Amino acid sequence: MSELYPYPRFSLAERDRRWKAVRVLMRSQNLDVIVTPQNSGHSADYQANTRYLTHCGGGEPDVAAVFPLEGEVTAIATSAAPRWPTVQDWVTDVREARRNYGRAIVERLKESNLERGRIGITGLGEVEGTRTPEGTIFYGTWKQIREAFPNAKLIDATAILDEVRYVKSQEEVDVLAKSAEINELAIQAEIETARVGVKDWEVWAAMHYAMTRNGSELPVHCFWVSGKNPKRTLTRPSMRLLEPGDVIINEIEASWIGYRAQAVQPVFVEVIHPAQAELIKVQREIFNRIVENLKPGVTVGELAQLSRETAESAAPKTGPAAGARGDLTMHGRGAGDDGPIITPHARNPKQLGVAMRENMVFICKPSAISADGEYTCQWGDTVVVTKNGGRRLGKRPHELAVAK
Amino acid sequence: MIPQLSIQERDRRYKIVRAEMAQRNIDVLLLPANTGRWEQLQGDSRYLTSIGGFATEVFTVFPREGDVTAYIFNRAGWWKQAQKWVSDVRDGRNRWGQNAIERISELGLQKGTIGISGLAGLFRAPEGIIPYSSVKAIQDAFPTAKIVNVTEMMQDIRAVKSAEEVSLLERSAAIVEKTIEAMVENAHPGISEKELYGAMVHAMLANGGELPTLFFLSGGPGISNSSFVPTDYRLQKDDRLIDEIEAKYAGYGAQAVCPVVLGRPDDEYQAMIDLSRACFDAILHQMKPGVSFGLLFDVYRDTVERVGKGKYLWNHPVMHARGLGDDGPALLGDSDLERFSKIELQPGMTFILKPQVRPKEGKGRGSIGDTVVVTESGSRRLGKRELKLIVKNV
Repeated sequence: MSELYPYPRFSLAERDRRWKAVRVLMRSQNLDVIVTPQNSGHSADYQANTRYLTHCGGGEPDVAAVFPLEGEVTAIATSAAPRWPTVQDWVTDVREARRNYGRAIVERLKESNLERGRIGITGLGEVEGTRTPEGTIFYGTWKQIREAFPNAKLIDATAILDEVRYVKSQEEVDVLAKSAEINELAIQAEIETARVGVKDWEVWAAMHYAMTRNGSELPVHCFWVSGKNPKRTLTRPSMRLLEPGDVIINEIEASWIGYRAQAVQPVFVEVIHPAQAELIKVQREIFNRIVENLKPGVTVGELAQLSRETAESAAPKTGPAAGARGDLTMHGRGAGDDGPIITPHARNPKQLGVAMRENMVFICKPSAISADGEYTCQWGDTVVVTKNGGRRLGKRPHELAVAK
Repeated sequence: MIPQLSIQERDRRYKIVRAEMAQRNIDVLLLPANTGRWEQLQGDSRYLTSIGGFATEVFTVFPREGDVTAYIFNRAGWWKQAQKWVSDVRDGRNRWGQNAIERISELGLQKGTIGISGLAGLFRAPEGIIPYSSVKAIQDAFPTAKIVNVTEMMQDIRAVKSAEEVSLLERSAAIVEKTIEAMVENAHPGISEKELYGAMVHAMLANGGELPTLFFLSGGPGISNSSFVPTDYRLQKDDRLIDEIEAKYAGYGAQAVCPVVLGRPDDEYQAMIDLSRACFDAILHQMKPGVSFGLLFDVYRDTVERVGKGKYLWNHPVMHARGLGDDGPALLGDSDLERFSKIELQPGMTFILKPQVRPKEGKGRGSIGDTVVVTESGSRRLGKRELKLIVKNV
């Protein structure tokens, strides 16, 4: 065993919990093995299953895993020996791919006599991932497995990992709370840096500095835009200079051992727009009502309805927030590409019927929208579902921030 | 609002790519979206659309004739305004197979020859970057179409940079050197790797750098490797800092390898870095149009042997191209040496040159490097710092 670097880690008990939960579902579907393919796309979100099972990852490398129903779990990486035995103690079978992952996966599968077996593959593309409707396994990797095992059944195992990952353990919740803590330090840096005449990009840089010096890994997947009344964030900063009355809207996600909580915090430069000052009151009411009701068994459809009803009752009769409506956006937070995802566009019964379970973790970021649609006020925090309702992982006040 | 390349640069690229397509009878190119490996794997798609950065996924349909179409997840409206190269930008929601089917049908190329760059054979992703189910959907929709792999065609085209591209790489190299300055300024006994890493990220981004970018950093006594993830290790006197630093500007990433010692370096390590520098100079001196990679490698081996007085060995990688990502030619291992040994340098080729050396007896290795460009008459560094082992008195 290599000497472990001073780096945060999950416990071996957490490893055993995950492996047991996945193997129960594998057994129920008669799967002999699950392959989680290498794919560091979308800020490594698409490879979250590999990291979830092996604890190998961080920094956007390509890593695959072979997870048998019984026997040793294998991580497959490039420059494997110097990189991955040093950061984790979950798997000792870390093999060299030299970028040819399909070859290494096939070699490992052949050790398990799977010629006529049932090989699960996450991201095969038959079951839609949260943001990967066409899967995550590359054609060339799939081809090598298919050709090496012409008589085996290749089965999409995406739903197994989704199911296990939806509900977080206490260790996972604690890690997400640490991510939330770093998010709030990043927001503080944003508020301290956003000044009239400062380049939008520089504020973004200060926010990332706060994140990384407080322990966030890269990559992170943050959204951002500044302007007078921007409607939607981008994945990037711009070179524009901040002006009085500007607002920076954002989605900030620090990565702690690969786990990313999210915070949504509008930051105004010097003055808050009067419409936003009124809309945040409606938005806060919606958020609080949703969080109160984040209990096991409550469905997405019920939460969406609650958002609309709360906006109706909370909106004032006069002023810029009169007639404001409410929309709910929530999606799972965790190791990457987490579900379920709830958007204002959710219409079909399957989406609306998803029920909350204890220890699911979401970014909850409802919006209050002015009657004319001109202003949208969104604020959000990461929340965990408990028996008694949702619990915020962040600690900052629920208000619009002003930088001056 | 964001750095832009000129319309002339777009037209130059389109002309070259379409000429190659015509020569190969390819009707349409598919350039997959995948922001993996610090967005290096999506270089082709960005090359033909200018869209990307900050993990923006862009799937491009590039016909030999007709409008180019860029599919991004859900911010088409912004991208239509933010760049001038492509007017047909659509929200595709990562349904890339369906996106391709839609656009190919509009173009009437259902029975045509479809080239996929990224089907297989990227330098760092030999199994390609397009999902299996996307390919299957296209095959199922167009059973009489011919699908061919054009990864190497795009690699060859992108290998030679225009003056505009070199200027972006120079800008990137300048940001890298700002990042190095931040490293030297902030490195001291007691600071953690994470804190130092954060200060360097800050310098990189504050000077216009883009994320994600390849950036490895490790500190410790006698180390030779840098890590993907910085740790809580607190630096101590006489530690080494080992790094690979890329800063992206408009997607273009130059690289530097810049070892630092806090205190006094041991003689052996200093000797290895000096030898790496001697190799760097010898290879750079030989780099000019028409010179083969095989010759450069011979120069490398000879210099290690001659200057190192027989006490050291060479080590892969010595050099690989830099640009928008997964650039070639790349001498990463023995098989690459076989592939590229007879290939000749051309003006505009750009590389990170970072000769590694290791002792014949004992452990460790040393490397120093900078990004270089082949000119009409020779070659030049893009960085301006003194290329040496940095020794910081603490």
